[in-house]
Amino acid sequence: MDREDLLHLCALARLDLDQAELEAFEGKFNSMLSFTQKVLAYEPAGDAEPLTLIDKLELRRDVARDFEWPEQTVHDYQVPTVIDFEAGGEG
Amino acid sequence: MRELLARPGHELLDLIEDREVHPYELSLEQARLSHELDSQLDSFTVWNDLESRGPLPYTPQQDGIRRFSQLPYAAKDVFCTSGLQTTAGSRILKGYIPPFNSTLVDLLERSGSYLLGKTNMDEFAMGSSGETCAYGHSRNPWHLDYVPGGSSSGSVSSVAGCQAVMALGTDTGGSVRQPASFCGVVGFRPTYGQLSRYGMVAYSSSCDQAAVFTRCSLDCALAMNTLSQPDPQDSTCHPSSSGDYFEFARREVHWEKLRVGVIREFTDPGRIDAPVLANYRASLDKLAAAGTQIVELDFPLADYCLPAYYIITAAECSSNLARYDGIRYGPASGQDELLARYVETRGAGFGAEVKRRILLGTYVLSKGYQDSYYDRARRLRRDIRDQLLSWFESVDIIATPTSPTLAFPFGARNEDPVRMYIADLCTVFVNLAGTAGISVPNGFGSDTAPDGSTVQLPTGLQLVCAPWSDELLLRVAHNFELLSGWRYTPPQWIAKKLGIQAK
Repeated sequence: MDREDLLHLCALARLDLDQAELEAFEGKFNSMLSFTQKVLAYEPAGDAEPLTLIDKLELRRDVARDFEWPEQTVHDYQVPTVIDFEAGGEG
Repeated sequence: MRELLARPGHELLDLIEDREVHPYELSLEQARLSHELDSQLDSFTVWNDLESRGPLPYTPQQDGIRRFSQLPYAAKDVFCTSGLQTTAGSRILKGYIPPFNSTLVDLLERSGSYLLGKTNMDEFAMGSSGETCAYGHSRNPWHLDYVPGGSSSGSVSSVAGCQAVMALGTDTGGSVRQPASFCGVVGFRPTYGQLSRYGMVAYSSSCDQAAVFTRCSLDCALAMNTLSQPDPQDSTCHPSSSGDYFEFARREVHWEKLRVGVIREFTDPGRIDAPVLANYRASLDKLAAAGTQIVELDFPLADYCLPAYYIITAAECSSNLARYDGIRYGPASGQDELLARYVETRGAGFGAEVKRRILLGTYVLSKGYQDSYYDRARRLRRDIRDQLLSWFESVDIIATPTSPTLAFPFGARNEDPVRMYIADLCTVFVNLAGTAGISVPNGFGSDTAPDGSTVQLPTGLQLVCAPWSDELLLRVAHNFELLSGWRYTPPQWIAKKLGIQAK
């Protein structure tokens, strides 16, 4: 990746790079990028979907223990949709 | 009392239950020793003032299950602690004091355990040596010029250096198992979902898992009895066991009925250094001599694990770390214009390794590259998991070296990040598959230090189980310790301070 693309990427990621260390940073970043490019040679088996957190890292519900809420718990929490900054950020 | 501080937690618990030792006095003595040793080990970033807090209330549960309780422990600085600074090893969180405890710290507090302080770590858990921390480097107790491993560098040095009985760490790609092998202690990463991640500063949400360092596998089981609880604050936390890890781990293993898988690619002298390989083979010989059936496994995806891991974790970290912008946490630049403020704050707050991973994540998620990098890596992840599950149809446990190398001197691998990444060669497949792994000490190997002297450094044997078979893993690990005759003893210079004999 050339420097112009690297700096464009920095802007996308909202990152400032230390100019004095730019050259060393660029070299190490390119080494890291080349390393990950090994996956481009891989052809996935079949046409199954990518593994995701919800899909295959499955939660084993058959033997899982559920949390038992204390009896006096009142489930009345609501996510604030409008935040009133004048009132100290409370919803 | 100081001579007790090299002993495993379950033995200390015996003494507490027999009223031979008072838990608060023990923890105060541990805190004093930890302070003394920290001038050399630099394990801690922040101390908890145990003296002013006084003894913790503790009411034992009446179910007969032994738990990690009333003992002193340390927590990686990635776990939020109410009223105690939490930085994740980063300048960008300097001065951040969470208003709440992470679930695991809460559970330990409720068990009457004493938090000694927060431990050093690679910034946002990104590193394999402890060198990317913004607040100094923890050191390997076996040789202070060598890295302790990472990213849970301070947690491992605290347990290996007798500064804590147990320490919480996190293991995203090997960050507990690899340092455990570098420092000669036990490092256990449970199956993804066994422990709550609530209040744990996120790096890669699908690979992050809280984990523990102890001086023996039985203490890991003790810790699991305290920590493995369902948590309504973490929708991915669904512990599977309703039993007693400690009791199960103590049961005998009938070695002749156990089938241990050996991954051929991780026995290759081209990948694994000679002293590590020698100790690994010696461990397999012990298992075989006890009657265990050794089964060879082929892992054609081995070379893809690290690149896939770095793509997935970089993508997730670029998203998770987007929240650090100087508005909600930590110090901020003085820029008036909002975007300039973000850019300058993040530029000054993050270290170089974290920036590289954020940039890589931004790149692999960008239009035009998402298919070829990120989605391909996730497909690879699926294939790696399927491969692992298919192995467990013919074996009960997989055994590999934990790290391909011994610990290395500070600065030895900083020139090229890829050389550093290789340290996780044997561990990342466990995280990609979301299963459990443990590193148990299996000997020492020789290295030549930069000054020409010969150094003896520990090595580790990694044991891996099928997802949700954590009880079996701890049982095999404990029985392997008995089989190999291993028992933790501290390095000589620390043993002297404790007034005990070292090997």
